[in-house]
Amino acid sequence: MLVAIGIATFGFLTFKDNLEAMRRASQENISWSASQLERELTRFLDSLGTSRAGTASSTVDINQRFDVLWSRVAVFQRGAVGARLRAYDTDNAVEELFEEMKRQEVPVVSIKSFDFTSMANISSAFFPFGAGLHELSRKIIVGEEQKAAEIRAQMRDSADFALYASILTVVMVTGALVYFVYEGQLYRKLADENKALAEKFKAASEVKSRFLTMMSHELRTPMNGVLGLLALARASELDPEQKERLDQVDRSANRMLGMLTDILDFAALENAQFSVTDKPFFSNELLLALPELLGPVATQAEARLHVAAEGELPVMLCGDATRLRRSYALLVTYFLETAGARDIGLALTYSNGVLRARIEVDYVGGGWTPDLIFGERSTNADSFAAEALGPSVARALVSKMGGKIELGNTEDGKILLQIDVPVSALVPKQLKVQLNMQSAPMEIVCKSSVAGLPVDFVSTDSGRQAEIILHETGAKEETAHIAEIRAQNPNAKVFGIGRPQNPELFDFVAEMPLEAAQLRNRIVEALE
Amino acid sequence: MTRIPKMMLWLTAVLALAAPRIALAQGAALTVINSVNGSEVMLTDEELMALAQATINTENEFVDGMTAFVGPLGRDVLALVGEGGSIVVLTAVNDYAVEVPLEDFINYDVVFAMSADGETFSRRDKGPIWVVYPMSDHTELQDPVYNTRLIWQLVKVEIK
Repeated sequence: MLVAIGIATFGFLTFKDNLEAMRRASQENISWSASQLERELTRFLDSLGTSRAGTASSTVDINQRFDVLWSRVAVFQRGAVGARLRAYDTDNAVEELFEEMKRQEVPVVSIKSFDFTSMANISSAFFPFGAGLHELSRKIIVGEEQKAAEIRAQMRDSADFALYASILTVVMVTGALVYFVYEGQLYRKLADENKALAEKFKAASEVKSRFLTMMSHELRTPMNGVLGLLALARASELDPEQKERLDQVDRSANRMLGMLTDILDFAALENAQFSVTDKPFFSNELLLALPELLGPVATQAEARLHVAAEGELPVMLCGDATRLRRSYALLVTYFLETAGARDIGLALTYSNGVLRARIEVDYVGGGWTPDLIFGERSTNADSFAAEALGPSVARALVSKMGGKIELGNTEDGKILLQIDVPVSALVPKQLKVQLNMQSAPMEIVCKSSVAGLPVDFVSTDSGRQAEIILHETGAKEETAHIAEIRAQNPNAKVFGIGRPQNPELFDFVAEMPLEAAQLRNRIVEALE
Repeated sequence: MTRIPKMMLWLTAVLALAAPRIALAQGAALTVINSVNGSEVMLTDEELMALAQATINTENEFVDGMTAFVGPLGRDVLALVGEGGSIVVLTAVNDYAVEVPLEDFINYDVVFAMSADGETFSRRDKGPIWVVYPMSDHTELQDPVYNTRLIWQLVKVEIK
């Protein structure tokens, strides 16, 4: 590129030189002007001579010749032509002639016919200038010829340079084209090879993922069997030593089961079909689920766990609550089980569309540092320890949800892990729920199942349309009754509570004993 | 002032009888002849100045910088002797002559300048008339071909 710019610059300068040379070549030929001056002096002297000889020339003719000679001298005094002429007149021949003309002006203008003496005097005064003007003409002719030769040589050189530059440019462009074609082919070949390698790697990775999934699944099945039998064994009469040993076995088995679950998750995350499912959920449920999930782990690790909301959380959020819960659980579990934390606080805050979990860990002792797992090094590591599997899964889950994990310290020196995940806040509508219960206790059970949800209970005789109708099944003429209810509430979903004779009459059936979570989930779906 | 030989005056008078007579002035500064149709006109300084005067601002190699030249347009002067011909022969007081295509006077505002920057030409300079091309307005005129057509001390114009 630099060479091409250099050639272009050189070509431009050459072109400019050519233009300058052409401009100089197009200047007025001053040789003619010089010869005209010499010629007019001769003609003036001739007019004086013929007059002295008594022939045709008159005093008018003499004056006219004098004027013309004067005008030729004037050419030397002005313009570009005058400047160039003066440059050659190093002997001041023209200037001296002009001085003499000014001295002889009065005698010439006042000359009388047949005043041969004056004519002879004037002629004698001007005659010596003939040789000087002749020499000046010769110098100008020779000088101009030399200049013309120089200009021709310069134009020839410039043309030659331009030709060489053009040839060089053509050669370079041709070379560059050949090079680019060669490079293009090379890169295309490399791209094809890379593509083949990538496909090969992808296929291998998928095989590995499938193997991991299959193996962990296959291992979980007998492990569940082990845990089941272990639970039966622990339920039998045991002496304290046997109970302690079986407790230890149970903890190890549960941990192994947890690792198998992590492996399953890890394999699933590597699968391209893995996707995040955003659904509405109650922030309060997330907040309550975490101590329920992590409390036993903290108790077993003899550590304190505090879960709370900082500030007011939106009642309802939209995100992947299952993956959020799992991410927090994996991280807290890691701190409890592997890092040996004694005190963990998990606080949730919500601001500008981001749900932030602040995990503060009071950690003392040991050679473990959090950046081994959560710092830059861990993400670039070629391998990681088995205990880092949980945090890796959590990090991948958070990333899949569009969030990030940052490691830092609190002001009082605790480890601070900050998990930010974009989650939108929803303003839940009031769901109109009608209870068709045959007994007061059943009504209490149903109401407690939906406690905390944005529910507005409407009575049958209020005249207001219901959106959800919880109907206790088992009454007589149920088919006709349900048809009547649907006619009165055409947009409502009718949930049967109990064990109906015709389940197909209902949109959903919740059998007794009532599973509150199941019923709540159905109502939350209706809220969507 | 141009002095026309007696023979020339006689000849002009004879020709004028046969050709459209426009002017025949005493002490003519410029003689204009159309050899194709036989017209001839002799104009004094005053008659030349009585024609519509044009001003062109231009540079050339014989003046210092931009100069305002004033005089009648060449084509106006040529029109005095009628149509016909394609070549114009311009002759100076020292008998120097140059041939110019008639198109020059049609395509460009060629001026028969009688003054420059307000100063009337004397014979000791370029007077009485200097043929000036508008070279600054037309770069194609900045060429030696046109430099040779800048004839001064013009006394005769002949269309052939």
